[in-house]
Amino acid sequence: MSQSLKPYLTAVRSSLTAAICLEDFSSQIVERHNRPEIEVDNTHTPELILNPMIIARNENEKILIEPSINSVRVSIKIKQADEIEQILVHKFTRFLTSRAENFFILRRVPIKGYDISFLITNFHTEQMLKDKLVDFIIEFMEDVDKEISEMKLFLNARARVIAEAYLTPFD
Amino acid sequence: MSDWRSIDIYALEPENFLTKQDLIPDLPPVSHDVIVGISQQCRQALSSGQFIVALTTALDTPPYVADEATKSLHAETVFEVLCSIRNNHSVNDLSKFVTQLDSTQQDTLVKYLYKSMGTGYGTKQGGLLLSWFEKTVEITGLGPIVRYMTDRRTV
Amino acid sequence: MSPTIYQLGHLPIKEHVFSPDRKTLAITKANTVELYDVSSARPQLITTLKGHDKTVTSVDISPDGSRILTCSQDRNALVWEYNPQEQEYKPTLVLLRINRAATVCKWSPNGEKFAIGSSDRIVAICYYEAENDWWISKHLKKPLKSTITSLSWHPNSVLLSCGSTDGHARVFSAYIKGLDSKPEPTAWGSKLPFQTLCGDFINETGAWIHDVAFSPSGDALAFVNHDASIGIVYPNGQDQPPRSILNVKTNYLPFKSIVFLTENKIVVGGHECNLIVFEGTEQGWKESYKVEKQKDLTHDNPRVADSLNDDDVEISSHDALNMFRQLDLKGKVNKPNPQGGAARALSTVHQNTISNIRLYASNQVSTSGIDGKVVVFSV
Repeated sequence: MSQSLKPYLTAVRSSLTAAICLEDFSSQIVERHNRPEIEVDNTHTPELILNPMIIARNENEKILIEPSINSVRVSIKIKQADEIEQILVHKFTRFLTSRAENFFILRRVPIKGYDISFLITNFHTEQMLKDKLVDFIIEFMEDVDKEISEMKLFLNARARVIAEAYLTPFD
Repeated sequence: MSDWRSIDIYALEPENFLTKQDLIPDLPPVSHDVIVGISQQCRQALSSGQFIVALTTALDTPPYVADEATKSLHAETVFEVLCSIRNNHSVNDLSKFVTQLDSTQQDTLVKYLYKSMGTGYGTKQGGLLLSWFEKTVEITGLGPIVRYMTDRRTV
Repeated sequence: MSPTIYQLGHLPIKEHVFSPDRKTLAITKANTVELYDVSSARPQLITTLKGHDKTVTSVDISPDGSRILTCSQDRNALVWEYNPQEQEYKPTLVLLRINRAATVCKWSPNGEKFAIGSSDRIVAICYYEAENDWWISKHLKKPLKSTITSLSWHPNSVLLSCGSTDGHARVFSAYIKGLDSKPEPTAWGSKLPFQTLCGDFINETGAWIHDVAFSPSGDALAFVNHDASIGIVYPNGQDQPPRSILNVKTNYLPFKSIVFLTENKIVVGGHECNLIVFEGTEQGWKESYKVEKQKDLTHDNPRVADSLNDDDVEISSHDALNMFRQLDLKGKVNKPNPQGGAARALSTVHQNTISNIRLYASNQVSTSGIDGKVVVFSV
């Protein structure tokens, strides 16, 4: 594991811990509604949005955290070194987002420029413990990298096996 | 009249709502020339090896009320100071610099770390900024991060 | 003395309140309020007050213990009184005239009126009108432009402070002609017609205010911001700048609630899940101690450290070779053995954000949390 992964994950962990300090907040604009303020138009309620944070490990790997009073949007850009990885990441995130209803905090559409987005609201933090949520996202970030590299290796291995199989008759 | 549903009725009673303008802190604006002057001061301090002087000079004078060009110029100055300190010291020495700052300066440092990570030149130096970030948060705890999020005095 | 813990389900408790004799405990739970008899060791559910059709945000018991006040995101507030004939609590609607959620409610110390804060950028001061047998309200509007998050009454029942999401803590006069007797002059001012703004404070970051509190004498006002700081203001009479405004920055997560123990001692708590005591005077305040011992939330995390080691080992040793051989031969992946799963609980009693702190006795406070617990701590 490379040098800068640990500081990256520590920074993400502390930023998330600070960002996921949410409360139940009923809409100031729409009567009897309770909606995630980060997802709606805030022209008339700019005070409910906090400053967004970007944590970048390099150009290809970064995370955007957008906090508000009752919700936090976390968007992750997963490392994609070459075309195979791009395809794999695309397939992988598509698989997840099309099953978003089983995956409480996943957002169906990622924010532009990122591969996958989560939306955490105060209702999630009421049901789940905050540090577990943070752990989950950190773990997800670690696992995705691992998963993608494994898939890539697997793909290459298969390619090699197939190539060997085709080449044997000519021995 | 067909799109009456999309009329923004709240714009008709502006006195009931806050606007982005209202959130700008009530501080004197900082002009571009002042920030150019500070960046020269910092460079001089760096070239004579006074790293902590350069760091405190840059962190004491954040332009909270200024145009974007001025703000990003100052962010570049801070970034330059951080790079220069890191290039001349080992990672573990960064903690010594952070402990020499007072709590306001530490808060400002964290603001600029986040700001730099959001820029093009910052993402190229992600490792450097992250090691600064790690060392700072080790000393200060989560306070500066919370204040970065909530502070309307943006950098 | 170890804290007394009441685990009352797992739904979040937005606010809790003990009756003045401390035998009854009222908590908010989703759309209802539950009353518990806590005079014996095990809390017994007395009754559930059902009258709101949205989340109940706040509950308060009048100083004489006879009336329970609730307010909810359905824009209503109800006053509940016990009816001995039917042996149940009966609600009376309050004519609030607000059209957004009610966020917080507080009885005045004399019990004759109460205040309701709302997302409608209004504080409603409500009092009983005998001719019509209902509770009517007068509105405090200007210069509020954002949701009211918290209210606190001055001991004289005339001055009211409110905190809002625009970062301002304000002190208003809630003097109702014909109901209140003319108040004695205080450090906040002497002439106090309704809606007089006696103080307006914002701290340097302009972060949301989560809670405000007057000191026991009413001569100081403290508030907690979302930037994890505490502001304390000592006023200096009408139209004068305050004698001192203090801002205590901390390195914790934001605080949700604040309570004065004495003039020189406050307790705060919130997202840190722990209570922290501050002591000080007009000259300055500083952190005194934490009520519970606590481990750090971000550092000292064995889970991450372990997984990092795992990977180092995998890559450096001949395990890696094995892994690749497996991959190559069988197309199979040896997953690193799953480490997580071990329930890592917080080291504090509250496992989630403390939503509300109240004074229980002279050296005790009661807290309620999102984790469904009500706890009485000695501090």
